[in-house]
Amino acid sequence: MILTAPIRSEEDLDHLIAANFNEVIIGTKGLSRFGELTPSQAKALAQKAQKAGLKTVLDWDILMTQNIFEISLGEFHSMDLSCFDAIRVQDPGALEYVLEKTTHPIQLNLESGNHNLVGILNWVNAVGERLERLILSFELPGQLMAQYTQKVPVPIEWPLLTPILLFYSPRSLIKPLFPDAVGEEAYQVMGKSEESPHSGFKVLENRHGTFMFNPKDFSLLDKWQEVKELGLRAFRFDLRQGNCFDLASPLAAMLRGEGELLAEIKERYPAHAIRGFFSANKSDVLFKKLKNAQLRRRETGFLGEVMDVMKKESIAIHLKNPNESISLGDEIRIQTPEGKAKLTHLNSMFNTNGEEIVNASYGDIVIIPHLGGVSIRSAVYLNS
Amino acid sequence: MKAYWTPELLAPAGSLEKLKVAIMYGANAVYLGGQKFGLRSAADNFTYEEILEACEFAHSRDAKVYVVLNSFLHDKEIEELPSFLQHLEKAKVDALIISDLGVIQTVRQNCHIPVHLSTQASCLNTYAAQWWKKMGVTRIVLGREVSIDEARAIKEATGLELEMFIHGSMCMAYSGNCVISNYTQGRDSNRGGCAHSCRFEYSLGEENSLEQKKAFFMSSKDLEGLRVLQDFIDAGIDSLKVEGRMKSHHYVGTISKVYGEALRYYQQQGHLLSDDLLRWEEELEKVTHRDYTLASLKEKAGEDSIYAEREHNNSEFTIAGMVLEATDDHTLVEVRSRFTPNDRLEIIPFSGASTLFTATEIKDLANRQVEYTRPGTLVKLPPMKNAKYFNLIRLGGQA
Repeated sequence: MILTAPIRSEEDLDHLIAANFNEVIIGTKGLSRFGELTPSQAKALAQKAQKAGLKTVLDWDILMTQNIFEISLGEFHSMDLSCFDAIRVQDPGALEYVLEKTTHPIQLNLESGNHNLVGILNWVNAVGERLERLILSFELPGQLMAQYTQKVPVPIEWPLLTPILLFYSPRSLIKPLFPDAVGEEAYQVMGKSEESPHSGFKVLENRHGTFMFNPKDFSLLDKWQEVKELGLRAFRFDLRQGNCFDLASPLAAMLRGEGELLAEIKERYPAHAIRGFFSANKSDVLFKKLKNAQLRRRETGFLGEVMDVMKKESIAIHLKNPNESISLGDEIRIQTPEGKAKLTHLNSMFNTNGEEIVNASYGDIVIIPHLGGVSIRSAVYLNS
Repeated sequence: MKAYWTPELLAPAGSLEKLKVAIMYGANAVYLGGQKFGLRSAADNFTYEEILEACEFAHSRDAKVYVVLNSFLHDKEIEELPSFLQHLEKAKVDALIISDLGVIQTVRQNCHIPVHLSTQASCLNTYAAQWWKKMGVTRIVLGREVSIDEARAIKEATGLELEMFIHGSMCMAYSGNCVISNYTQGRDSNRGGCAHSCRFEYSLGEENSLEQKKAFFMSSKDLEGLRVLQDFIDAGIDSLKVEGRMKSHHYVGTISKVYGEALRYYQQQGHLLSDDLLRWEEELEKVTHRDYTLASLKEKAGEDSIYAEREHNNSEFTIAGMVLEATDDHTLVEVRSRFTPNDRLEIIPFSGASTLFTATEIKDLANRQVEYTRPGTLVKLPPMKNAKYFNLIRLGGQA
């Protein structure tokens, strides 16, 4: 079991050392979304961490357009990479660059998307031997994660306690609204939706853009007994936002089974927490309700669509299938948007000039006698 | 006469009818979604038969059809994908737009359709493009944060086909990196359930401060790239994409017509200093839109790219209807908005300036005069010389 955490300062590191963490993630201002360190500060922390027996990971998790990428390379090359045991990347550009220009082991962050095994295994194969760990999305349910850990041949990391990042934009969205927020210092406000019942969003702007967080953090501490059976190899704690590195020791002790510390941790943790999609991810069950399945064109016998209904007089049908035509005597089925089906035989048909016709094909507009209950946008099928 | 090279104009096709409108008005390629695997769950989306018809219609007019499979797929959907791919291959779909490596792998194992990397994968730089090239993609739809100059550098370094957005609504977040809907609405934004929470108004203030500022701080203005079309061409960008599978026939037709005409003008003249430039810009103003911005096409999107309102600029130009039939006896129109015999209308041809007219006589299908039209009905107008099937008729034309 590897316990890991991102840090910002020597004090944070001291807490992790005292808690017997195994690893520390170090981010600099130019490479990491929430990094606050200069390259020399990062080096000093990494050296101290290594000396204390912790593995050190350089965090390069910003997304980069070409210009930003080139600027980032300046900082990347100013780093003393010998102080770092691995490099953590998210942008495939950073991944490709690290693969090509360094020999470091790679920790690949696949938290955005990557919700299928075929894709995850393909990343593993494509990166190759230097991939030492995958960080997978915590939108995946725990049950699925248990399957993945059996099938993915590299260790998988999941967070146990972390803020939930909802939104990452490179644009400056907060500082223009607050004239006191000047310079490159990070600026944070709280947001409340005026159009939904949600409030308590932390919104942070720094040199990399604007970030919005869920009002409640993500925690699987309640489910630790289940989580530890999933086959995960590394667990991450992001204690920066809550500035609660003093919880590192009780957290580590709890995971190692050294006491009933959950209640104390929950009391001291400065945010409410949710388990997200750990039990189940049903965030697409509503989709079926977003459109009317009755109007969907079926595969067989589709003729066209009702375009006009003149009560007690006529119905106009636009024939929209190049592979079908109709003739007098055919039976048609009209499927209304409400799901009702109406059957009728074509005993008479007219074109738009009012002339009687005996057959019609793709592109034609056909007028037939009125049929009760039929409305526009109804789908018309040949009832063969 | 020499024909100058121009990029492809790629338009959204939210339905089969919109696909036809887009192509008739000048798009050389369209993108559409099937019943599954795309990012627009509320769009009409295409059945197998409609995809087949779409390909036949497009290919007979030298246009291409791309199918989006850019949702973040789960295991079960990956299993369902091969049978869908067989159908797409049979329909002769020209390319697939994909964001997920699992989908790319499945496509490469089951068919030979070229793969375009979706903007949903947020490919932003040369090294990322090289990575995706190794994964087998032939074209990259760059993230909307990338400037034209940056795109040029990516193209020079990788030799890949590049596609960039030129027009339409914008995500404020890096695409694929917004999950607001997932946690606040229970709808996965990267699987077709985006609730557009970024368009909401929020109160913002420092923690524990009483002073709150109300702002639409996450809402982006709409992209409009006509002004930098020359830059796209000079940079050799292969395809110019219009956002908007959920948008109207009017939008799809107008945007396809404007950019299509501009590109054809360039093809003939080698420049864009056309007398029609002003008309093209006026046309873009006539469709419903938020204020326009160049976003990051020239330089990083700034404060002026934020749209500080809830509602769109509702264009006073609305679609009266679409021509379904043009004969010597009448012009049959599918009515979309109410109009009367005194209203000033304009018919929008597939190319060139609109023709203004007044519908002096409106009849129903039984040839009775009507005083006003009702949306969802068919009416007959007097025959018009240049009217064609799929022509849009617009209200609010000015004499």
